[in-house]
Amino acid sequence: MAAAQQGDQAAYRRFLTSVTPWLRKHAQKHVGDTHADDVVQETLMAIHKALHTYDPTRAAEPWLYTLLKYKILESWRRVKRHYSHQNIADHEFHLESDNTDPSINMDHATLMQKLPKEHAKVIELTKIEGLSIGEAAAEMNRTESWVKVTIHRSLKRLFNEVKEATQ
Amino acid sequence: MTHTSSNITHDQLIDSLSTSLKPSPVFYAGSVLSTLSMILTLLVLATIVGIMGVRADWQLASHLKVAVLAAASLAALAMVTARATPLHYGKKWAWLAVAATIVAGTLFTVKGYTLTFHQATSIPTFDWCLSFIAGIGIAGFTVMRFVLLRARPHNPRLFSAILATLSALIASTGYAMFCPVDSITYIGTAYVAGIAVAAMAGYLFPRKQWYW
Repeated sequence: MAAAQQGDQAAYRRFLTSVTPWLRKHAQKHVGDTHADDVVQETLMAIHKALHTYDPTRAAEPWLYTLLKYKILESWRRVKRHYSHQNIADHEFHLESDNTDPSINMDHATLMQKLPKEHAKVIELTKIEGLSIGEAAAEMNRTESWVKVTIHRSLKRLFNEVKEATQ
Repeated sequence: MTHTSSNITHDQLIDSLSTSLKPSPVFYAGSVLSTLSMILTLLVLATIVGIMGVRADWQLASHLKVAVLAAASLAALAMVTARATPLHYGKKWAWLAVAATIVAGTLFTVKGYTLTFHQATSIPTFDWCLSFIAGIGIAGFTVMRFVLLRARPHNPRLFSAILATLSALIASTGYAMFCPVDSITYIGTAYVAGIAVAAMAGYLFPRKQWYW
């Protein structure tokens, strides 16, 4: 690392290569196989950006582990955000899902019947026909805030319906 | 080699990083921050002594007031130094500075004179005190923010806020040498408001390069 700090590219390459399996092992332990590679690469980039903060008179492992720890925490935060309700509304929940699991394939019409008519229409307009919030609000003679709240509540309800159906 | 979602292998990334490596001398946060704090302290003292003038009626309470703010500045310096790099290298004297702040603060509360909140905020120099601390605090923070390009805090917003607080505390220590009001209520309103303004500016404007 000390050589790398002086600009020795070969030493730096050797260091990064040798440290990668160690990073991967620890990343796998905390974030699993799915996110381990992303965490390793983010940590490698963090090492590059923060190389000058390593004090060569001290052990390298605590410094490396600190960088890895923050990247693992970031990964956890990302996963948490991904599964938050808002995210479900925006990205996760697709009525015309391409999910191949037959247990969670529910008929679109049946699903929509679970919602009040007006709410179902909002979902049809925004999530199926692809209208913007503003366009849907104009179509339904409602305010944009009402449309946003309705989408959020409806998707939450639909999500719970699908969840119950799969249990 | 495993592929990630970005479809770049670890080997490719390592190649790219090692090719772009440039010499990067070690960043000693403690030395840089101590030097910056020293320069800011000298500038503030020069402003107070040279332009505004030091108060003539020094007494125990006024000494304690300066001691509280100086100790708090040292505690902030220790905190900001520890947070300037990903791995926190704690400063042993940080707790001493915190303890000194508490002790001096308690003694100042006892020895200083009592003012109500209304009386404290009605003092004619209230706005001037607040503006001086906030203004010098933000100016000092701006310079420190510019100089500390190589800091890599794990929480840039928090680091930035503490850095601005340090700057404002140095400004308030200098101002306390001029200020004749030796009351904890006044410190808790005018001084704290000035420091809070600077800290807010710090919180809002962390440096982009600090994110890693």
